Amino acid sequence: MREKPVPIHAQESFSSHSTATNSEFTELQQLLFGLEQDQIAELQDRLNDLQLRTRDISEVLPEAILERTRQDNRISEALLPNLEQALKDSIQNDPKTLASVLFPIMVPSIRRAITSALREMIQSINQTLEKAFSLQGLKWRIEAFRKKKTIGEIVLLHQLIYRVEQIFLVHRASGLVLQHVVLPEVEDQDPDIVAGMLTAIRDFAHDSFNLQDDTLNSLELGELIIWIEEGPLAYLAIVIRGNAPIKIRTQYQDIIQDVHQKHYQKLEHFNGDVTPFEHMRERLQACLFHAKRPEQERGRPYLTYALAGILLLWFGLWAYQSYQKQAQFSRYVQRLNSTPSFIITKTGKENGRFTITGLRDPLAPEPARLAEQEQLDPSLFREEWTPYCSLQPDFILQRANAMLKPGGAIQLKYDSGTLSAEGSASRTWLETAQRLAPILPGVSRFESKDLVITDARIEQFIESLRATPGYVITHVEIQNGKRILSGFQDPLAQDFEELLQDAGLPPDDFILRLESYQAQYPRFILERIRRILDPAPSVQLELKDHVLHVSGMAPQSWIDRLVIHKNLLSISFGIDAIKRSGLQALEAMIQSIEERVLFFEKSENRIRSDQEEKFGELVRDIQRLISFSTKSGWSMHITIIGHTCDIGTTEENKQLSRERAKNILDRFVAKNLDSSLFTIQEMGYLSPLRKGKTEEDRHYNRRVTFQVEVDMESAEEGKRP
Amino acid sequence: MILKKKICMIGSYAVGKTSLVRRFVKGIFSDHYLTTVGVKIDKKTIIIDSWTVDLLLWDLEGNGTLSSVKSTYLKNAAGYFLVADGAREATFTDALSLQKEVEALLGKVPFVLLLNKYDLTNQWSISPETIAELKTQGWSVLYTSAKDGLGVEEAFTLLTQKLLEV
Repeated sequence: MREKPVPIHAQESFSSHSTATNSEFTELQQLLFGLEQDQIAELQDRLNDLQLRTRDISEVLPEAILERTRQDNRISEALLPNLEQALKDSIQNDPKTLASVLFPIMVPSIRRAITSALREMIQSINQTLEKAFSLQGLKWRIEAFRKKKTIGEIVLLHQLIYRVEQIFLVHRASGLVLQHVVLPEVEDQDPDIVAGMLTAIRDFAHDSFNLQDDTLNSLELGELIIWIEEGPLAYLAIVIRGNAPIKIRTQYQDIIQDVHQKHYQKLEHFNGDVTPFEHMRERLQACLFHAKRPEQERGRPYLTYALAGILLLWFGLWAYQSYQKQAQFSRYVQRLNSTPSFIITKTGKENGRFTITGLRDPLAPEPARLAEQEQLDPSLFREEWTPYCSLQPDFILQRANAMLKPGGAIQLKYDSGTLSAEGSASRTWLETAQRLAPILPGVSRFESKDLVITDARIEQFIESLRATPGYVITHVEIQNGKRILSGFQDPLAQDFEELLQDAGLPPDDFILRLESYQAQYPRFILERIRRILDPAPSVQLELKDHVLHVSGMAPQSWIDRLVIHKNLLSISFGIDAIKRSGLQALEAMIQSIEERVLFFEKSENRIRSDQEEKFGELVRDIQRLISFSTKSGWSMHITIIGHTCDIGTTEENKQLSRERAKNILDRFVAKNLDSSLFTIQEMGYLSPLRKGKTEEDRHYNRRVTFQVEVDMESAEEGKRP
Repeated sequence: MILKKKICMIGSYAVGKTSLVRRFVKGIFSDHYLTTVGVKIDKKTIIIDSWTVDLLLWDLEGNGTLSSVKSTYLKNAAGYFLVADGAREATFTDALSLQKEVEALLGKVPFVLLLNKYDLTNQWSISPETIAELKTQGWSVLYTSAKDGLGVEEAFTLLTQKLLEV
């Protein structure tokens, strides 16, 4: 309802004209408009009450705005300046509120923008890598190697005109970093320290050269340029690689201005708390600008294709050769692995060459030879072999052969730790082998039971045995190291052990399997006959053209027996001849004894020392005579006659001469001669050899002489049947 | 909460400032910077209670007075170490006069006086009375030995605590 303030004005004008009639007029009014007047007063109060009026408008305002917005955009126009002002005020007062409102919207958008930028960059790098086999790609690779950078970095540098790598927002007075952003691929040092040092260097430069504050606005360090955007309290340090266009600098200037505008108080009273500057991070991140180089015109694609083709062909060829080499090497390794005595510990590749490390038995085949067999070029690989002893049976045997040098006649065998030798070997070799074999790796025992000891002396002995009369060796066999001699032996042949003794060989080396036989040597036949006939020493037997000739002197009984054997043995003989020659022999024997004179020391019953030899000969002669007489069946007797010189009495001399004869008799008895065959006789000085009285004559007279008697008849008679 | 604080090492030549820093932290710059630019900066993070404090240690080339360059480097330091060689009294006197200069420049900011080379006690030339008097004036004084590491960690922690109290 709309109320017009007309009546109030009327009332005011009326009262100005006449105050006297005021009460009357009021009364009239009361009478005329009683109820309406109250309403008017109420309306008036309502209009004057601001609170009430505000409430009234608030009730209709939303609907009114909505209604008007439907009609036109006047309300937006009206509100815009206020809204702008309101936002500005809000940011100036406390930007956090607005920032916190906008944060959920802005951060994802920024992230999306960064992702998209990165994707573009990756695409660009991919394109570049696709061109990696181009000449330029190769150049970049070389450059990367030379500058010790990754190929990605080099590609990036060549693909980009510039890039902003880091931005520092630094508190100017303290040099402390308020905010810092850096590209993820850039290797950075601690920003606080870097900024501090940068600040120090700037201060140093300013103070040293009296520079004005704003004059040091860029530093050039090799490929890097550092722009300094100064503010009164803080500065931005923008680290750029390449040539950045100067126009982007304004953006950094804007940032530094904004920072000052918004954080002047905080910068002025900076206490080390960098939290208020956290929000700058996104803004700075967005300012890590970069610019790509425009695509270069492709000059001659055909040439590139051709080059690429050649490169591909070369690569293919190289790959094929590499494969071939690898295959050859693998075969070689396999070959080594399957060859005993090679143990491969490591294979690999080093500076383009294959490498093999391992153990090799010195007896193993030469690796170079194996490589040659596998057609592997020796320059392609390098091998390092450490010597070791393989315990493979083959190698133990090879080692044993190399060490013991058995020669052709010996065969070495190896089985489970035992090295055995077979065949024939010299004793020296056996002794060496017994000493060395147990120290060979893998050999715990040396066995030689099947080894025959060959000895030149043994062979020589066997040969001489073959030539020895009475031995016929038909077969020589070796068993358990001993020689088994088979054949025949004449009982009359020289004793085998005697032969061995003569040859200086041990009897243990031989086993005899000899049968008896009768050798047909004339000597053996004769001996055999001699054994059968048992002739007297005075009988000589001789075999001539299978006819036995018997001669000499023999007892009748023996001759009678000989007659019995005559036909049996084809003997031809003459008894007279036997007798004759026998007597001659007897006489010779007797003469030999009787001619002997043994000389004595003066007044002694002992023979002179120079007479001993003569005494020995004498004993032998007597023995021969006894034997001859015994066989002939004759009796015999020897008288030992003692003599002295002329000195002394006859009695004394008789006594001495007797003692001398007795002494000789005693000595005969000591030589096992039958004492009954002897008698002694003392002659004294009765029968001097020399009559003279000189010492020499006396010397010859101090003696013993012998007289022999043989009685043939008595014996013959006794034996005769 | 993370804080960054610039602190300076101040003292005469060869009192062991660089050694103290080296004992405390391994930096990225060589000592060569000290002789060329006159300062070397290292960083050490110290955690006290809920505070993580990044200390930016400005190790200033030492001599008895502050040159104009050095005063620039001092600007806005949150605190400083005054380093003297306990075996050389002259460096102690230098430290006292340096402190006055620094205070004139920075105002009253936290600092700790470090009497270094405490390992050379037999050559010690500063009397305990002098130290006691300084302490009554509210000075923080610590004995350190960059050689043995004695008191180094404590010195940095003490200064950090003082910085947090401001």
